[in-house]
Amino acid sequence: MRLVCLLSVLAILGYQQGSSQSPYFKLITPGSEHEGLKYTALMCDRDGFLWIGTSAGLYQYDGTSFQHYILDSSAYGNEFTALAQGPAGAIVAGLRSGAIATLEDGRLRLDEPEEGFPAKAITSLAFGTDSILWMATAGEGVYFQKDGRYYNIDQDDGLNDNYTYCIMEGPDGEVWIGSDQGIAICRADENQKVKRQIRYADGLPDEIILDLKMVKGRVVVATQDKGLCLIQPGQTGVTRLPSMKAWPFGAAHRVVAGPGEYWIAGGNQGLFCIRGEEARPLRRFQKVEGRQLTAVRDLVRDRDGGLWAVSGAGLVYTPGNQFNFLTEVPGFPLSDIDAILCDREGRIICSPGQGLLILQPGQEGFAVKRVSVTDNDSQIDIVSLFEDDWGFIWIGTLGGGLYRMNPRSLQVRPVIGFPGGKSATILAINGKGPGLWLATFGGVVRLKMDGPPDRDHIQCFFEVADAAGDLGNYYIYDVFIDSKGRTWFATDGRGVVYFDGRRYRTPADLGALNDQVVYSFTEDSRGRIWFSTAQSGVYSLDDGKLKNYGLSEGLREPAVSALSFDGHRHIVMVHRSGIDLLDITSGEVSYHGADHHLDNLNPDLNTLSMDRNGNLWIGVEQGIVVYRPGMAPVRRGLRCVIRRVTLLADGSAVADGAVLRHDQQDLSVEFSSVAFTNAGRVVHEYKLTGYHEKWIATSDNRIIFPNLPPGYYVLEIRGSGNGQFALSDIAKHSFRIQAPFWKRLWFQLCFVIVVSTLVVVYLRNRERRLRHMEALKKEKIEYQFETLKSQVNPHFLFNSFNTLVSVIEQDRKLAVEYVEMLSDFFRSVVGYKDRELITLQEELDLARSYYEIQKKRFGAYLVLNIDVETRHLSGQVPPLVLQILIENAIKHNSTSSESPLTIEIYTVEGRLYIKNNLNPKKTLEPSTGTGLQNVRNRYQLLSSQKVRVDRDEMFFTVSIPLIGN
Amino acid sequence: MRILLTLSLLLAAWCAPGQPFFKCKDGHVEFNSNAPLEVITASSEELTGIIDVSNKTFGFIVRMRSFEGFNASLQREHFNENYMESTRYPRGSFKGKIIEDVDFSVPGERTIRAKGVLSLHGVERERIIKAVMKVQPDGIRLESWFTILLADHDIRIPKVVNEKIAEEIDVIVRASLLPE
Repeated sequence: MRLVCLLSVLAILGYQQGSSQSPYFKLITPGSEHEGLKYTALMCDRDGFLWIGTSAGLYQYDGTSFQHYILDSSAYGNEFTALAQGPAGAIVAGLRSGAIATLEDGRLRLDEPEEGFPAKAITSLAFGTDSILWMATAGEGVYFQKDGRYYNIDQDDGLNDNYTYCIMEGPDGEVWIGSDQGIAICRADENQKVKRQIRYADGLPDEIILDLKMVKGRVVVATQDKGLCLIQPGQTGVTRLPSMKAWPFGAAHRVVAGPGEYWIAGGNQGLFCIRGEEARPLRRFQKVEGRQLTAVRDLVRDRDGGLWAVSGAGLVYTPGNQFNFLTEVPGFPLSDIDAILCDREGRIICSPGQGLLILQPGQEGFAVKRVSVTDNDSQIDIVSLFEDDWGFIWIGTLGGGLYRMNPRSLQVRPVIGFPGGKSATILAINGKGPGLWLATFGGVVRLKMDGPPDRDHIQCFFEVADAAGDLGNYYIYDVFIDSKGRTWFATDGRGVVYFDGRRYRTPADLGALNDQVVYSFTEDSRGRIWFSTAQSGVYSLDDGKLKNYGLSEGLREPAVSALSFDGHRHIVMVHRSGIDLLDITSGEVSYHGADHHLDNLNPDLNTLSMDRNGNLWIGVEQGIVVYRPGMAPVRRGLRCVIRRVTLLADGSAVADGAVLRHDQQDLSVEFSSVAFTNAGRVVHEYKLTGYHEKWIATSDNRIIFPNLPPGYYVLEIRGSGNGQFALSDIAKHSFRIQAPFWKRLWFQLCFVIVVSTLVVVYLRNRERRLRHMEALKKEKIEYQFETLKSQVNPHFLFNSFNTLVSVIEQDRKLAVEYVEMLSDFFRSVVGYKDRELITLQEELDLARSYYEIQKKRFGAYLVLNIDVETRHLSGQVPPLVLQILIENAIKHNSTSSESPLTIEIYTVEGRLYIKNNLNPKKTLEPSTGTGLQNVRNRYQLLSSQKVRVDRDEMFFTVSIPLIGN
Repeated sequence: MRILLTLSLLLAAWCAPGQPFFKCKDGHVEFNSNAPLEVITASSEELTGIIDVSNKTFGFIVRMRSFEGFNASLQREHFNENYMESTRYPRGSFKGKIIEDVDFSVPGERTIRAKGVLSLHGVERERIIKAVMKVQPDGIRLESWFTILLADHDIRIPKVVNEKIAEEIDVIVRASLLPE
């Protein structure tokens, strides 16, 4: 017995005070060209973007790139001191100069209040009910903007103090204002602006109120000198946080609440975190990347639960308390943790290469004890730890046998009788009551304790399980007992085997398992068994149904060395590249690698243990990672935001739902998904419905669509950091490119109508013209017939012959002339009759010769006077028209010595007049009345001007138009 | 009534010797209604007022019937009888406090904002009104430009003349104040 005591030498260095766990911090800068910036304000908008107010403009950060916005006008400077997002999504910024600017369409614009801007710096902005913008100023109280006007609340209205720091939208449409003299509860009501004050008398520990936050129905108050306190709205009294009873750190500039914790921006004192309202220790962080954290003025929590702070050192980011690091404890660096166990006492027992360390968490850090297992710890490697039902710790080694430690005395004794003795390897230990399962390089060994198990000295029986061969001599990496009492074995070569109390079985569906090397087991809240394999990722086994999660299901590494359900909603998977969480409901995988400082972990198999509080302690090469479940907000996928859609030609913006001209067909689309971690892995997919129906992957943040044909388009973009696009929020933007007008229906209809109308009109016209020409032809024939008929008028011939007879008797020579005249006349008539028109000159010649013939008969009693302007001589008339009219005159009038007939032919204003004195015959020659009518008809077809006939008591006048004159 | 009371109190205070008051000696108010169909301008020289330097408070009053100008005498009658109801509400006033810290002993020009209650047509509205204040050795000159929304003061315009009277009236105030 003494020997055993000697073997378990205690090397007690005593409990030491010291270091605690810490989250990971890093500095983020917008790039070298923006050096020397003073950061002043922070906000996270509803799309997840981080907005940073600085001394030289406003920055927007999506995890990859910074967008810089400044005011064009320099009248109010560019130092942004307060930020808020309006109900419609617009970003509103307050400046050091007192001005207010709004970001619209990618441009910062100053508001233009008629009342003028406050003359003091804007310290805080908030939107209250009815979209009322509230502004806190450093010295002029607060303002609110209602119906486009600015209203002021200051000391004259009952405000505690004109120097105000913060505004918070409280319950019931009220606004809480923190000032130099306590809290004021206000309304946008001109009659009663300040409803209530909360002062020292109400229990406020400090009246300088720097920040107010509504957290779960209570108001968290950050003060200048006394830390935080809590107020229940509607009730009197102020609750002091126990951890704040003595707060020596000065101003709490900003407070941000997380799950079970508060973070405080503590100015030059650094950053503080308190977990839980009773929580201790209060943790203080003063350094990031080796630089002192000073001037920590603003703090904000992003949508993933990460925290951002502005400081003198720059922009500070921490993923928060989801993962904490423990790299050293007083006196001992922590590295190469091969086994870890959280016992029922709340202690953490781990093996950092040599021996065991027992960490007792205390108020100010860990108290540490070192326990030696053998007298030469350097020779043995502890790889498994197990706490039995009596609290004794079983210690398995790599080739060094099995040991057992008393949890109170910390005495370690070897377990005697183990097959293989002092050179045995025990990779995993599990069990219930006095029966334990030990995983070895040669199958499973069953251990049964004999005698009282709460004694240091214990007798054990050993039995090599299943010598028959179900487990055979395979390596066993993990032994796991599920909620149904089944014992599961992770084998190297035989896949998964379980023992149901009677025999060893292989789950029915494991035929689908293509990887027979299994590392680790866990069971989720729904009773599903999860296990990891060496090459094929992780499997879940649900009532015999097997489901694989491999690289294509979003896993980052196929070889997961340890697996554990976190008690909330995630399977925690530890592998060399980090720690991934698999959401058991959605299947979403989230990565925690370099951005959480979790890369190159090189963990040993199954080096994790859950403590009493549900935190997972994971042993890795660099020390211990503590995973706190339920810290990250439940969120699915990434949210893509389309920043800008513009026309390539002129850069003008294309709004959602815009209608574009046919020549506006080249578009550029800029977008991004906010990803503050794993930003480098983010890939986007887009689909332009109306153009192509498939998702197209891109690693760019800009797409150009050239030459889009007319049509209606819906652009959808989604992003993902792990290929699980189906979980992401899709950003949509729709637009229509109109067809050119000549391709649109209305135009085509109009075109058809116009063309067919033209064709109809043309055809009608043509028909009319043809008919007209037909009529003309007919008329001409009739006319010719009439003229011919008139030429062979028997009276004319009879008279001519009578005249000829008398002439022959008197003068033969004259008779010959007369006959020549007659033949000349008839020749001319025959020559002209086929022509449509002849010149007036020709017609006059014809009329003259006709007159000469008639003159032989009537002598001096027939007079023809022709007075035609020479310029009209080229005018045209139908042939023989004058002859017909002269004949008419002779026919209807008597010509004698008592009443001579005078015919005058003259022109007036382009018309030809034929006028004779009226001396009607007593006995009328038979008249057909066709002569004048023929002339009329003829002219109707030839000219638009009409033949006019004038008759008075003295004269008979016919006027005909001259054509083409 | 409250206005009158305030003003009489102010005046009473001003009468007490040694108080740092500035009283309006030369006050001019004009307004412009720039409607699509008609532009109406009228002005009054009867602006009275006082500034109490000790606590930065002030009060200004103008009698509505003192406005002259308009495009016709009938228009002036409408202004008084129908719109402003000058018999019931004979005065317009603005009283309140200057927001900025102003040193009245230092000459120079500065823009100030006056926060107060603008009373017109019997309706009181809280307003912040910007003004340019010129402090001279012999007194203060004030110049201010602001707008009044008729709806803010329950001044109703019949639909018939909708196009002839603007909904927003531009007001210009110029005043010289002398120390008392």
